[in-house]
Amino acid sequence: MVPIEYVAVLFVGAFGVVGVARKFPRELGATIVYAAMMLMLSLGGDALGTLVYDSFKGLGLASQTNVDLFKWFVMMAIITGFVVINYAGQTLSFQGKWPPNPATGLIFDLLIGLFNGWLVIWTAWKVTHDLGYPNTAFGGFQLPITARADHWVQLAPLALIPDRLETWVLAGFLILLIGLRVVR
Amino acid sequence: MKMLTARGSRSAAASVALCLFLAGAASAYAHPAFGGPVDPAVPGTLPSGVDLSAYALVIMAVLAVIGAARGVKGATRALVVTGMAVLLFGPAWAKVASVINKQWKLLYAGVQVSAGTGEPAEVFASMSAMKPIVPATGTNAAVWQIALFALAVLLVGYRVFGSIAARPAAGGQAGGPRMPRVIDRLVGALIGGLTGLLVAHFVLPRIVPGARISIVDPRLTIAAAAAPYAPMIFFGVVVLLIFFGVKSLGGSAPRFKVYN
Repeated sequence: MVPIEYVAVLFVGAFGVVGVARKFPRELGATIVYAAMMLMLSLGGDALGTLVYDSFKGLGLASQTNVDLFKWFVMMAIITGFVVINYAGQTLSFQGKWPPNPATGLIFDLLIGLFNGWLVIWTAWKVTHDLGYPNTAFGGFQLPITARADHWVQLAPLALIPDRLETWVLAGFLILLIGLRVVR
Repeated sequence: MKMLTARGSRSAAASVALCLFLAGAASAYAHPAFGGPVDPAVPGTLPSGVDLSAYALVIMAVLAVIGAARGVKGATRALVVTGMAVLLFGPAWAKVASVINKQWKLLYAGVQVSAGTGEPAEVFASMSAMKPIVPATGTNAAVWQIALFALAVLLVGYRVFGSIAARPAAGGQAGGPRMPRVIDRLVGALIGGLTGLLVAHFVLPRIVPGARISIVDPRLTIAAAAAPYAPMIFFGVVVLLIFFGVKSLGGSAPRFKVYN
């Protein structure tokens, strides 16, 4: 069975390939949306979980249902929704001539793709990790995870930023990106 | 322009020389003489398995500066050559040593036969029995590996004595090669740092057997010291790259005319 950290790295690599295909200006547009996603999860993630649990409790289903699995579905739906918004239809992108030269362009395309991949995949992994991997209910995934995975999952964006600074850093990053987009 | 180019070349060569000097200083500190067995009990000798991450960081910093000076193109060429040299003189060393030895014997035999110092059959027979000059294993092999690796990286990767004109020089002059832009310098520095890591990983463990090098392993000094700042450094680099990436977008965005 393939360890989860390899799956995560593979997915991030796929984002890198997408970055090379879509180029830096478009991928940076996607970064704006991902920054908004991170801010939303940071501010409202816990509240969303509580809301789901309260809803189940209100319906009298909390004791019979795998609430964590339902929370996981909701969180994955949000993350997947953001990814779909980013790559389908008219997408947010930066205007201008790119690349400045082929080598720099390729490196920037790859780096921004990998960065976006890290934002999405590591966030989804961290959410799953924090919920105790409720997706094991489907089979095809078995606990325990390796020590390396346990270490790597702590490299998620929301885990790296200190809690007291999380809102400021994410909001600052989002405003910086929007500002750069406006200035362009 | 030539003067500027030559100056750039000299500064790059000086940086490489500084890098080699530091590596040499590390080796001199670790080994009483270049090569030979190391006695861990001798005072002033680094024991096997020592943390050499600080040396690696110095090499990375120097090569990052060179990468920034030369721009992304030169830095990428150096990285590719270094990567190939690591593979060639690392895992494939036995084959490389065998090829060099064979070529040397062939050359030597050719000279002997041409000079008429013996019959071809005798010369070739004595060549077959000759001891190989390049060892495939042992301490001396490490010396050969480092020497050939350094030659390849300096001559082919950094073109220390080579085509100076290929490097960007005087900027802004019509028809002449341009200086690397800030974005090229930034990426060049990143690639240069990566090249430095490869160089350190190849050279240092061959000088100090069992040397531990990592800039991310928190059990090692440098990484442990940098650990509290690692996220800040990472996000800082990301923001810097994004900023200069956006700045280097050519042309301008379409503007919409407003009619009153």
